[in-house]
Amino acid sequence: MKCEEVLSRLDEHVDGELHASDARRMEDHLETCTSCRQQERRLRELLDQAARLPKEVAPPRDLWPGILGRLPARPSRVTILGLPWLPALAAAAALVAVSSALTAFLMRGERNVGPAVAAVPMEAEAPRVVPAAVEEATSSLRGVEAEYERAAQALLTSLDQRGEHLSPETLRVVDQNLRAIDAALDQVRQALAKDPGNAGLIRMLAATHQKKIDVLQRVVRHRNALIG
Amino acid sequence: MKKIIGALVLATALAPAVASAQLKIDERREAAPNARIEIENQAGSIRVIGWDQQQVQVTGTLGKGAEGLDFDGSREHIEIDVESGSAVPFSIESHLEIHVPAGAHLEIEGFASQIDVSSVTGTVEASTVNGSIDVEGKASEVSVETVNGSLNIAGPARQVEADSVNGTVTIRGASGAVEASTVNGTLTVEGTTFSRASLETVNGSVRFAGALDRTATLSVESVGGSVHLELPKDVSADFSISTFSGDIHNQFGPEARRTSRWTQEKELRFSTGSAGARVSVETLSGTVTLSNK
Repeated sequence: MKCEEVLSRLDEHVDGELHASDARRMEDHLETCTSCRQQERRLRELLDQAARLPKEVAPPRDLWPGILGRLPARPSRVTILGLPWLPALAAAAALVAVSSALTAFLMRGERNVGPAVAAVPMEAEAPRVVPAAVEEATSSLRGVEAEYERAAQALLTSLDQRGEHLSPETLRVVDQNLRAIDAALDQVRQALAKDPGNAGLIRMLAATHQKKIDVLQRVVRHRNALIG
Repeated sequence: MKKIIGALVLATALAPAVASAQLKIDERREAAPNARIEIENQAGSIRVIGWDQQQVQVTGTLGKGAEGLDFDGSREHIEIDVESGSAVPFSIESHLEIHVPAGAHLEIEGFASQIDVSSVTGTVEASTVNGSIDVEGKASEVSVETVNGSLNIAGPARQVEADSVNGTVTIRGASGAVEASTVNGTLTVEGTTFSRASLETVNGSVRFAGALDRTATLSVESVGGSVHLELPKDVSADFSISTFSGDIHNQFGPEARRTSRWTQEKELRFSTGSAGARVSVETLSGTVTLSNK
């Protein structure tokens, strides 16, 4: 097994997801390669750090299935993407924070927005949340968005540091699509401004932020695979 | 965003010209019928064809600057790797045609590479960055991803995962579980009976045509794209459709209703048959159409 493959599959290794034969080949390589062994150690340390972060409180599944499926999903995947570069460490930490922050926000949403909906008869077609709840929800949402942006920025910084390893066409396309996602985020924010507390829009906002992170992660992962 | 543009300028300056001199290759190895075969060629093309022989054959040309072809491994696990040495890998264009036992399990990786797979009945996992991926044949499971390029999967795969950033995704003939996403590009899924389908785009439109099994879930999310679902007339499902500023057209009967005096948001919830399957669609500004066939 070569260094490139070892590094690209290190997360599977530490997660114990490799087939036995591959795990043996991985261990053989790690025994003889100081550099890869160091990366493995860093990854394990990173995972330990992530594990020590506050555990999220799972929201009720029937309320937030879309978010649940998406947000806390892959902490170990996140960590490997920019392993050799410090900014990705920040991205990993930020993503864990996003998960916790959004979950906390949604939990508050359940308490504050939910009863308000029940209390206001639909036929009156009044705004669906009381002003205080809207204010708190909006503030919390801004915090969640800031965390997503921080994660995206950390990945962008990681990409920037070794961006010359990607082709100009790749960078152009990534730039174009990040702009498209940003434009979509603006559209969702505008809709939320008209209807604060709309759970569907909040889910869409989170999903669109997550899409941006996914795109960046994918490009960083390919870049890392390319340079070994 | 400025950072990425800076990197773009730097990459343009550093990218060397694509070389022209090429070296022909023609090599064979024995392989098990269900061998795991890893293929890596960062630029150019990778064409993989399943055949009924217990051998792997690699033909084609290596681009100038390539240090050689690593074609190694056991009957059960074979690696095929264009070695680029210290050169920028995506500057070396190599073109490989690889025949593999039809039941092989493929792991293919490119960067600026077009990838084509045909006549393979095992599993196919392929990724590239600039380039399209086409998979045709009876692969049982397909997992493909690209950043800039289209993904086309045609065949009766029972499990498909396809992710593109900038390109269309087209899946035809599949069944079982499908997960597909794109940012900019049309997403089309046509198949037989699905147990799970999760389709996401940011700006692209989505078209799904197929049947759902009794406990299936079909979920579609799009910010700006339109969504068209074509389902059997006798589908048994709970539907939950919402769009913030688009329209909802429903051939199954019930009409959407506005949920607020203050916005254009529309929602449509209804059930057909004995329900069981769950269909959910969320868009911001896209129009949603439910049609029966």
